[in-house]
Amino acid sequence: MRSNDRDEKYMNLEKRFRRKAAMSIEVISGHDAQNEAAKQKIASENYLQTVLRRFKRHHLAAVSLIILGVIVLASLLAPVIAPYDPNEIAGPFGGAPSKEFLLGTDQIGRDVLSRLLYATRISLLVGVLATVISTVIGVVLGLIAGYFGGVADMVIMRFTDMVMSFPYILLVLVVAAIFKPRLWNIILILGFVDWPGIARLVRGNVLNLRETNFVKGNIVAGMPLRHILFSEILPNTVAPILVYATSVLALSILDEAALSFLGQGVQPPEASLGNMLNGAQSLTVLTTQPWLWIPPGLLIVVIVMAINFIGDALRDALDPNSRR
Amino acid sequence: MLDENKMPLIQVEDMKKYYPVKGGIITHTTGHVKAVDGVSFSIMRGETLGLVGESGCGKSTIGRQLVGLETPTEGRIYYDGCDLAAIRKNKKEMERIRTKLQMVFQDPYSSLNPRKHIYEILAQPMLYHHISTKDTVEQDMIKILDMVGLSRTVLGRYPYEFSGGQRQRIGIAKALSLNPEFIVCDEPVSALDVSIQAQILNLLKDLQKELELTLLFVGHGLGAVNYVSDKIAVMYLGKIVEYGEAKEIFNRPKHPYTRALLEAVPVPDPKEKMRGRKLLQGEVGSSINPPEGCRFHPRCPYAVKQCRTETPALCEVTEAEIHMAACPIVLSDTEVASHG
Repeated sequence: MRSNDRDEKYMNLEKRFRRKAAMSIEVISGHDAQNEAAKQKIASENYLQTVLRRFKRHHLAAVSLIILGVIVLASLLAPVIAPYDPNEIAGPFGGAPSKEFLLGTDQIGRDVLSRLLYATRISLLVGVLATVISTVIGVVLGLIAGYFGGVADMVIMRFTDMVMSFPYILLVLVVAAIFKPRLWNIILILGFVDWPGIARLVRGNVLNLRETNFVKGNIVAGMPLRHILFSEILPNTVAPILVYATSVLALSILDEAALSFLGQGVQPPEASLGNMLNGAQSLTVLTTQPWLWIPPGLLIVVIVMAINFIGDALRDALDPNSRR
Repeated sequence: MLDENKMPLIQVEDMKKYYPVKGGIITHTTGHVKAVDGVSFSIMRGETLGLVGESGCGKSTIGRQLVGLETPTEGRIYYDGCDLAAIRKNKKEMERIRTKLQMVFQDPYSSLNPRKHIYEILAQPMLYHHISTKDTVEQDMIKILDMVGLSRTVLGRYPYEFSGGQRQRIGIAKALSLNPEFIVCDEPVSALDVSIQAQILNLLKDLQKELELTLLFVGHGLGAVNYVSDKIAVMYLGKIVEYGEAKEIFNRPKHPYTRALLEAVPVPDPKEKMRGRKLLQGEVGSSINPPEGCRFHPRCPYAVKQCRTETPALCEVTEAEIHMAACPIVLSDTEVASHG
């Protein structure tokens, strides 16, 4: 210590400083012991358990998850539970619901229930794959633009703006007209159209994270770029990406439905929720055969709403900074 | 006194760091923020240099240049006699010294990845640099945690479960885990409660002695900086205005700015309250357009005509100790000098 040749007032200052420090150490340790039991309980659960616990507090989302689960399960098990072959003419033309055909038959005598099960399967497949494609594209471009900045950022973000400003139903129609509107084409088209939102989201997050001390600390520690990007930055953007992806999922299911409704999507005889609605373009069907369009329409609404509720709850549950 | 056996570990020569200011309708550079404008100093092996100054004077910027988060616009940094800029170009050399320069950050709340538990945070860099192997890493981590006063139970926990002081200990442990020789402590206590500040300062001081570390301690509280530092450099608007042995600076400040900083330390004694204290008036000048001459002259109570035109250089002020100041007025004015 150099206090012997220091002014008296600074010695005073330091004495008080030290006494105060010593006192508060005691206070803190006592406080710790008290809280330890309560802390232990929360500390003992892992991240997944916490997310699950917080998710369950959103009743609407929990119910949505169950409903969506049932729908997914039913569509996966379509070959087992469907009463008829979806493309087989099995009954009367446009028959009303009956014991034999629970949801009636369509204009050419196919069973609506069977077609609905297979249609859900196709629609979910299109939605999920398109979301995966657009998320991958968005994340990669967002990471590059956000982390490296400069010219890369400029080029990527202007391209993103361009894709975003395009009237994309028109774009999709044109592309679908050039390439034949087959199932895989629809998936690819939707996948390549939905990524700009995710790219912007990821870029914004990366811009923030790049400036945080833990990223800088790892740069100082000499960690390689792949570690910085994929182990430090990416895990911290997963939550918002996941939340955003749920809305992309809901959107691509809607887009597929719209596209198929316009006749540029999934082509008959293959059933999708959208092309089942195709029949609703005629006024007679709308007024006299509601069993043809109410079930697929309702199913689209239920699926999209359920996904959106789940996304909302995830936003809360995935927050890493609180654990109540 | 300068020990002849000691070599400077860090030597900075005329470091400048300018940040461009963009503006105009067609974006172009309209000026530069001169965050650091011609700074030279050296830090001996095993020594602590304290860097003090107001917010925005460029002290943290210097720290960032030293650990390689940014590269200086001009000037050189030598580590153990080697030019850092040259080392950066050579990948192999870089590998060798990368871990030797580490940093402890100001805000302990953002210096740990919230998604990882402490085990991952500490183990990953050690394993990557082969400082430890899979079998020994846990033992090594426990040893380091013990040094910073934490138990092994922290390893399985997440950062949010810790208080600011504990997080700062983990931050220090992370820096220590790579066996560094030099650590930049960028205001390591200013985000903490006063009571915790003392603990962290003592910890840093003990570790420095025990591990023979060389530290650059950046801070804006003279009290804290003086407590841990052997030498102190006082900065104002990107330049060092006074440099010397810590006790010299503290007891016999020569530069009017240093004196003002010392006067601003609150005294916890109502009888002493404000007696004869002169607080600094005015605001820190712009670092885009720093004042001509001595940068401190618009706020300096002793300023004369000469201060407005001539930029003072750092000069020795005493024979006995290492003590330099960049102010001609105080140097010649013996009455003012003895007053301190």
